[in-house]
Amino acid sequence: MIYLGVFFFAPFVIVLLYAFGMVDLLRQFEPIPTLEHFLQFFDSVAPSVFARSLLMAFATTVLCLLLGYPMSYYIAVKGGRRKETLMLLVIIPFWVSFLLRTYALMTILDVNGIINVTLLSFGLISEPLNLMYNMQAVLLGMVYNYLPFMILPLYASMEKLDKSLLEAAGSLGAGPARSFLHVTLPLTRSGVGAGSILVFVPAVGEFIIPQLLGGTESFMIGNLIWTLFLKARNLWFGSAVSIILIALVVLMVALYMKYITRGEEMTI
Amino acid sequence: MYEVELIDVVKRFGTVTAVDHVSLGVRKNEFYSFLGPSGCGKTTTLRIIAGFEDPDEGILKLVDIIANEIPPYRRNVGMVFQHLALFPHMSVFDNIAFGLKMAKVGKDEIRKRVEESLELVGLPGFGDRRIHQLSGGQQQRVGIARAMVKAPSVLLLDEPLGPLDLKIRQHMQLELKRIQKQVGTTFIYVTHDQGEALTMSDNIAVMNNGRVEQIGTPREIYDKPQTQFVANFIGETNFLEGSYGRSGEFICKRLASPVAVVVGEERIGEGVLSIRPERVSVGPDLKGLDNLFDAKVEDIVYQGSNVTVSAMIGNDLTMKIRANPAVPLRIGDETRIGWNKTDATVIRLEKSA
Repeated sequence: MIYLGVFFFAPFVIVLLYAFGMVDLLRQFEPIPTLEHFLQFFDSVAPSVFARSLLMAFATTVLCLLLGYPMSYYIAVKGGRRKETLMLLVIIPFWVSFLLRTYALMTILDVNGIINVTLLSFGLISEPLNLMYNMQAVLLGMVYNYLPFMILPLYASMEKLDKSLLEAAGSLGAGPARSFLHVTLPLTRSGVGAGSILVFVPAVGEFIIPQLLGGTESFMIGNLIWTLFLKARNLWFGSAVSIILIALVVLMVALYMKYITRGEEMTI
Repeated sequence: MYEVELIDVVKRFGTVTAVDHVSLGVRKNEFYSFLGPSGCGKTTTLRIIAGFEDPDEGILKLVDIIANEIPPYRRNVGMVFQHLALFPHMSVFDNIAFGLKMAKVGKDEIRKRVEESLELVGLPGFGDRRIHQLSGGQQQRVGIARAMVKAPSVLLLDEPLGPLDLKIRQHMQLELKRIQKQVGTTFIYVTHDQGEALTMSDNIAVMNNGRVEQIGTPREIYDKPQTQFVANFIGETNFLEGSYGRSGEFICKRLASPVAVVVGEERIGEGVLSIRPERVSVGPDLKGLDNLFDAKVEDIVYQGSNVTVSAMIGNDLTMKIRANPAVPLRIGDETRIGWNKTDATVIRLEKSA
């Protein structure tokens, strides 16, 4: 509780106060409650940056789901004795710092990186490819970094799935595709929900990956807030943007949770 | 023609042979049980019939068609699972309707048939319930209804009454038998409970170590066990080791006088005489039986409807006898025991035993 109070609640309150213009350490103006920083939001680049961030986070989530679902399904259902080893392989990247992993990705994608050097040496390309500093590179970095967050809850929900349910579906005339659609998918929905949130929420606010791998076109909210706070020193506007981000994410997660846990009923 | 036939079926898991050259045939509308201790291969055999396991050797026939390669969802075989395997995310109605929906049956027809099958298993009006709102016995009924609603030609039941309490289990045994009579489906029932198998089955295949030990009606299995394992696994029995004498009597190693037995067509050499405790009489004035021995009462265990008397005959042979609790016996009494030769069976001695 103390931990939460000091490191979560207190900063949140400070940011809130800044956003409403009620703090001014440099005493440049009288601290009066105001909405001007929020109104400023609509006159700035912020809305388009928001849209891009949400789109990127959404794309990351969908890609992680498309990659992670078959992977976790394979590990949980067909993994057999290799289950533990395979899950370890998923988790091992976590042992290395996030930053380090992203730098490692840079050495692969760089103009002098492994891919370009290899392709050049085989004569497949004559000029090095521009693999970095664009949207695709950011997306690749995000999917790569967030994939385990998707796989872990998915794996947990599939591990819990009683395999005899699939046999039951089979004995009732459902082939593999329909067993999957009517039994596996609805029963792993909680894993899909948890995984999607674990990927989406941090992905919206991500700033290191676009910072390192992205160019100007992949400038995201995280970068905007970072710039406002540390470069422009506009703590008030930065705080307002942060508050809007938090509100938006909370709203989206709430709606999504409602959708995922809706009734649990399923009509075929 | 058999509804289900296994010919020399073998299934191995790694180095373990779970099903070892099993051959058997199940006739239409029969209640057939696979009976044996856990790990005897009975469930694996059932799963082969369902299509969840592929036999490594041998042939599985479903109504004269070789079915080895047919996937489970194309076999007209229903299954009731040991741990039910009801779909937790569906209502009772949707669980039972699942098979019909897969078969693309019309909506009205589905409703009608689901209601009929709920009626059949004694759960009318339960369609809207959630699975977790039902008791164990009710869930079991839903499992049966779900498997039965498509009117499969064969229904496989994998120890379906295992998790239930004794009272409900006994009730469900009768219910199952009633349902089977009513719809006339072939039932293949896996159990380790010999009482269950004896009460319900038309035929029983007793299995041990992946092999079929004996196939027969409950009466044949109980009264004329062909192996020591069968005699021992089903009910209680007394074993007397020995061999046939020249004139057809059975010479028991641990008894001075020979035992009168029914002489079979083949006079086997070494054998074991199996005699059920309830077929042995006890009392000081016993007479008129084919075999009579002086005995000394060693122990009496009271069991309500009867008592089990342990009596020593010869020098060191203890026989268990099931007797009326009113029998006037006390530990240490000198008495007599006896049985008719038709009440005992001689079993060929298993070489490995």
